[in-house]
Amino acid sequence: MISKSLAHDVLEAALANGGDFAEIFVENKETSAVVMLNGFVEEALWGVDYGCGIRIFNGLGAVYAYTNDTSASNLLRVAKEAAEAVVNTRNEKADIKLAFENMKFENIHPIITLPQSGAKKIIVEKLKLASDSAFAFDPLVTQTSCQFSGYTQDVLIANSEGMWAEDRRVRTRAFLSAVASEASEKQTGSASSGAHKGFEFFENLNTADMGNESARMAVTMLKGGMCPSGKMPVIVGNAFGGVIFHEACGHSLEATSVAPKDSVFSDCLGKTIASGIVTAIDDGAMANEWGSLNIDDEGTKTQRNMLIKNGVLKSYLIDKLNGIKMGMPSTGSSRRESYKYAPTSRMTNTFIAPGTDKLEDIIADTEYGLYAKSMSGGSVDTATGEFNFAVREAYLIESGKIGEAVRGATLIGKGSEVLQNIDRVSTDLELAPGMCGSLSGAVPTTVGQPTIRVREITVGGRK
Amino acid sequence: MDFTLFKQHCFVAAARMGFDNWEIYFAKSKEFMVRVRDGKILEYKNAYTQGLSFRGKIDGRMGYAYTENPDENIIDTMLLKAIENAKIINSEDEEFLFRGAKDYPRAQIYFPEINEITVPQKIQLALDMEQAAFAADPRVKAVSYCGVANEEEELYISNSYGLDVNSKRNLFDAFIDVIVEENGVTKTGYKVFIGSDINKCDPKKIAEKAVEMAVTFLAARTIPSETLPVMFDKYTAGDILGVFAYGFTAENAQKGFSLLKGKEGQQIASEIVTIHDDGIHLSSFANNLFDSEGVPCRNKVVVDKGVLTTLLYNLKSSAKEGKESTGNGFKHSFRGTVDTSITNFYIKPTDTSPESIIAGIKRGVLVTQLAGLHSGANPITGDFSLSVSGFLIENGQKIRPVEQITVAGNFYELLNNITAVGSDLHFDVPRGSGCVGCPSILVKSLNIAGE
Repeated sequence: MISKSLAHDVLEAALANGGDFAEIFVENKETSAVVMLNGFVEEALWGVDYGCGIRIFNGLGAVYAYTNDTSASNLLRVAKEAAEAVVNTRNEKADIKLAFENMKFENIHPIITLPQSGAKKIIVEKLKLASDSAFAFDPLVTQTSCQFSGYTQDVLIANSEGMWAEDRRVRTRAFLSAVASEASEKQTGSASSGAHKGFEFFENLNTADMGNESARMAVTMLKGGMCPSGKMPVIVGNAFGGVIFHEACGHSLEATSVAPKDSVFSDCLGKTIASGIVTAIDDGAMANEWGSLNIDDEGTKTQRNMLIKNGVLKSYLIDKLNGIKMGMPSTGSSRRESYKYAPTSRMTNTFIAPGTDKLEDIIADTEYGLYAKSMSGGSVDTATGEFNFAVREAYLIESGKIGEAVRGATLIGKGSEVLQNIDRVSTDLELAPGMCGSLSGAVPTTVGQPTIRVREITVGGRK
Repeated sequence: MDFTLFKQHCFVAAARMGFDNWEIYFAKSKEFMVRVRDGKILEYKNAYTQGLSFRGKIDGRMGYAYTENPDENIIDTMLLKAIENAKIINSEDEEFLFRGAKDYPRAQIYFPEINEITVPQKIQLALDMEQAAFAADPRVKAVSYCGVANEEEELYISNSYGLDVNSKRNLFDAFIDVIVEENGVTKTGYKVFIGSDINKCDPKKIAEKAVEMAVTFLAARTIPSETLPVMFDKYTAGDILGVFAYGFTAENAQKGFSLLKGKEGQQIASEIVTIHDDGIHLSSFANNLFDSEGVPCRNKVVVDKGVLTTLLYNLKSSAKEGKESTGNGFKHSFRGTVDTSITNFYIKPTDTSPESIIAGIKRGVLVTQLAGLHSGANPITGDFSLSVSGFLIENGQKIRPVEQITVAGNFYELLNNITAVGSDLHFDVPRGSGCVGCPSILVKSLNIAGE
């Protein structure tokens, strides 16, 4: 991407006016995507994203500059300009290690075929299969949207401490949605799957099943009634249900809001923040998992971070810069969407560990409530802990039995309260891929959980 | 490699590789941001980027490819990928390139005075905002996100029919997020200023607005679940309109992803609702002279006194219906394919003041903040259930702040249930190609979930 001697000169220029640390992040990302609507290929895209970000630590602040012209003259100019922004810092220059040391690590994510090299014919066939099975599922299905996307991101991270780390991230994803219609109403259903794998992941995917699943959800919701409103017990389904932990807790454990003490969970290490049956983990080092990375975007090896053990807060998610403020080492959690973003602490694969309850027993034990079988996304205010997330597929529970399907529900509450109110955790842990948007852009993250029950939560319905 | 030279090489290669016609789209941007915290610079960002997208027609099908690395060696790969992509397109609708127009709208969308604002001025402005926030109220615990930014974007579109258009636009913004705390209760507030004239950017006023928003909600509580009239202020009304603008594009309607399909000429909203989409509006900061296909932008009355008059078209969707493009063929960025997007999409204000709308409400809720739009509102079905906060209104008076409630309904039902439109048209932060504008609106009844 760029030579070691140029990297050295750029780092030197970046620290010319002071500053404690400088870093270069170079990225070359090749993307391929196909969109099929109602069984016809409407879009096919290929492209290259390419550029370089230069970051300088200046006390507890940082200067960030980026460009996609990586010629020596331009990079040196951009580094020099960035250095001019280094003010109110110590006078002596930071040491720059002259010799870079190649960082050695094992690639734990074997890849067979890069997604952009996958045969277009197979992509079209498999998307068509998904669309056809969705339409065949029920005559109420009127529209389908089926997408394939994949990318290969090559990164180089070099810093003034002598780090020279190169890595390749390969991700492949399929996303399907179906629309069911009746008179003047429409409802949607969706299914998605993704991994830190190559084209082989898509080739082995049962897209017909995914088509059926999205159609089933759309039709079920079309036939469903309106969700009731008010506070009630909610059983949150496994897999993407994990978005509840992601929003209600995960974001508030990121050093981005913990370090400046903006988070509801600042200064809470060792304290009980959740019900005793809750254990939660963020693990960026799971082989081929969607949210995994060999090294994070600062070159730190990813690891398994025990966030909450039996209700007690054990760790935050920390990046280098916030780690300085907190006096704690990085947890391999520093991520960014691309070279256009300075990295910061983010989640990777985050999930609640399995418990001992059985799903059937949890339902049988609920007199009245909502079974939020499948979730959509949500958001949180990390300062107040107030979160919201939308339910994609839900059922009423009456007298311990799953009843009528209901639509249009959103769950809202405060993270600290919801965590304390989890009173059942089942054994059926599953993970699901998603995209998470925050300060450093949109990054692939996995959410997950076994089925859980929250004693009481506000359900926003239309009845 | 220089753009002009890259373009020449690209055009030669496209002809050699057998494209019937082709186009390149070049975007170049500059971005600056400074953020402060506790009187010091926390983040300082400076960026220069460019991206180039090629699309070309071969056997009646359009192939796309893009690069951020304008290296001469990438041209052949890019064009081969575009051919590969064109070959798998089997859409029933044909995509076209534009041959150009005689007249393009004229308006000032580039403000040289933004470039005259110096870096020290911007830093000072950010520091002043932070200081003003702390000075505004002793309950301000932190100023969590405070800074100043400016962006500039240049576009060039050039195709083998001879279309050659370019534009340059810029904007300046200042933003602040505050956290307040009292008796263990934490609340947040924010304010954004967008403009071209730094003299109009009063740091004290911006900071005080954000603090006021946060402090007001310290005393907020929920209310019982019930069905009530709901007034959305100019900000939240625009948030909702922004999500459901999706349904107003012809492409989504043609493919069955919009409930407005076939509704032209029919009453879809209450008679007091008139919606325009215009490339240029003096109060907006996302003005466009032409769309991503090079088609001139113009003013359209989309909904006239509640009647749907037109959907928004690009070249492809208009050709399908034998119509002309409305100049709404936009790409989300240089990377994407041509889609359909709003420009300045706004509900026409009336002369009813928001205060007089409040005065007419016996019992209802005024919504001033909402969360969860990206997941809690479904643009295809029209369904929404959103976490909101605002005020309880009784007998024409704001009684107290409310929080931890949801407001749920269906956008298409809501349109028919709008019983008042205010005079306070406000254009929101630009999103993508355009900007949503809305005055306050009153909706007859919506479901509220609380206690």
